[in-house]
Amino acid sequence: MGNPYVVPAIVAVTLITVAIGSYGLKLARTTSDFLVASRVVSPTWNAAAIGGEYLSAASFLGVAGLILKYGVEMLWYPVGFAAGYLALLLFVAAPLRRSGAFTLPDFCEVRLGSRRLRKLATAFVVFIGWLYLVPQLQGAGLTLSTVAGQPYALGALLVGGVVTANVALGGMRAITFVQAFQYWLKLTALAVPAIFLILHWQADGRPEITPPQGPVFRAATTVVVERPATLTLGDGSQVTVERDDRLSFVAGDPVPKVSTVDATFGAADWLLPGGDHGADRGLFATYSLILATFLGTMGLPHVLVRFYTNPDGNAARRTTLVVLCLVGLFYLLPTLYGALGRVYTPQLLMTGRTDAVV
Amino acid sequence: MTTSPPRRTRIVLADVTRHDTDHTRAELAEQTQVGEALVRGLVRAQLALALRLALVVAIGLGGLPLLFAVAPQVSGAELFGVGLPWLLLGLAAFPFLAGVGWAYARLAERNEQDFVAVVRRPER
Repeated sequence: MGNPYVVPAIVAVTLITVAIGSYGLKLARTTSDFLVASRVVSPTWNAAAIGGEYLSAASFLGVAGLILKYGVEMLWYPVGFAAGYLALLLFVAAPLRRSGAFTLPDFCEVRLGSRRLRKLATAFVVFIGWLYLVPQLQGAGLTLSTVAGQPYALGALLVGGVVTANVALGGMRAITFVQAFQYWLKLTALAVPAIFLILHWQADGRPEITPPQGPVFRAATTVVVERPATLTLGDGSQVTVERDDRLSFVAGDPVPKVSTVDATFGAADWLLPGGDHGADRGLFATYSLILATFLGTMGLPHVLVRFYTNPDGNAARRTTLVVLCLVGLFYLLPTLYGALGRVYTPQLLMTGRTDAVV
Repeated sequence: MTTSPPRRTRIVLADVTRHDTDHTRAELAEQTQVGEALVRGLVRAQLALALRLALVVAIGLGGLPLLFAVAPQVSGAELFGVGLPWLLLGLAAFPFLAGVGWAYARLAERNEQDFVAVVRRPER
């Protein structure tokens, strides 16, 4: 990829992040500063910060990729996440703030009076943090390698280094500013191309997102095979391909189904919920997905901890409400990318690496 | 180790009224029988409100998969050329959730204001 703006842009964002972080360095003096930003963060700042940290690579790259692959059922992911924030607002935000505790394990100990529970809670927080880190670093590596052609490891190391430095030096105060900035940056970075994409789609004569014969290549594409597989072509015939085979498609050729990749090809399945695809779809799967996403969002320790930085319970509530709005606004975008990706990057359905659609 | 851990301050209600809240705080701090009962009443009222709104969302949003499963003609319906499930899940769900959230924030705040009004009444 030879886009000359990419590397300077990455450098610029990194520098701004570090600059904002070091501004926060001046403000980190007491434990209260460091851990809970002296409890003076206003609802709008806090909400933007939560939004910025929550709307991570998994949210936009992943959700867009899933929608590209599987269609409408995947919309339950963003809805589940947003509903989790509502659950936080209804049940958790104000009482958590009012307990006066400093961290989540602290809160457990205060409410339930057990030292052992505190240790257990701490172990869980660390575990969840770790689980969360892995896909973030994957996202960073993937982005850098897709966009700038740099090695995967460099992206992960760069992100890890900058964030660690920011947190260690500035604490909560610094982080709040950084994350708020990043929310607005991400929103803009996704919204602007999306607008152009839609205009392009309109100008193109609004090609069908779901042509009856399945996804179709827009432009002449050459695919290089990396792993042997069996392809099912548009007319039903099957072809076995080996490593390093080159396949050329012209505009209008239907995208072949690859035996090693699971994706939804039929127009009806992609458009309508409850299609007969995959191993165990169906109501049970949908409901367990909803439950998982919404309970999971409710329990995220790094989000819950933000509530402590509010001046009081009411502000905590207002913050959550603003987060709900910001998150909802944001999630309109990956859906768009996933759907338009079906038209413009159908080759990703062959590799299965649909996170790259954005 | 001579430094003790930072003190946690438990807040019951802060900044609900701009006026002098010393009496109110003293009243609550005394933990009188009445005070305790009032606080518990408030907590219960907030919980009831939260549960009621949660039910609205559970039925309104959580009922959708069920609806799609039992009524395929609903899934197939189209509005502005886009399938109904896409519009409901990808677009309408978010303002719906935000609206419920906003309703909760307003009603919860009003609960707290009512509570403070009741507690302050003895002073008049």
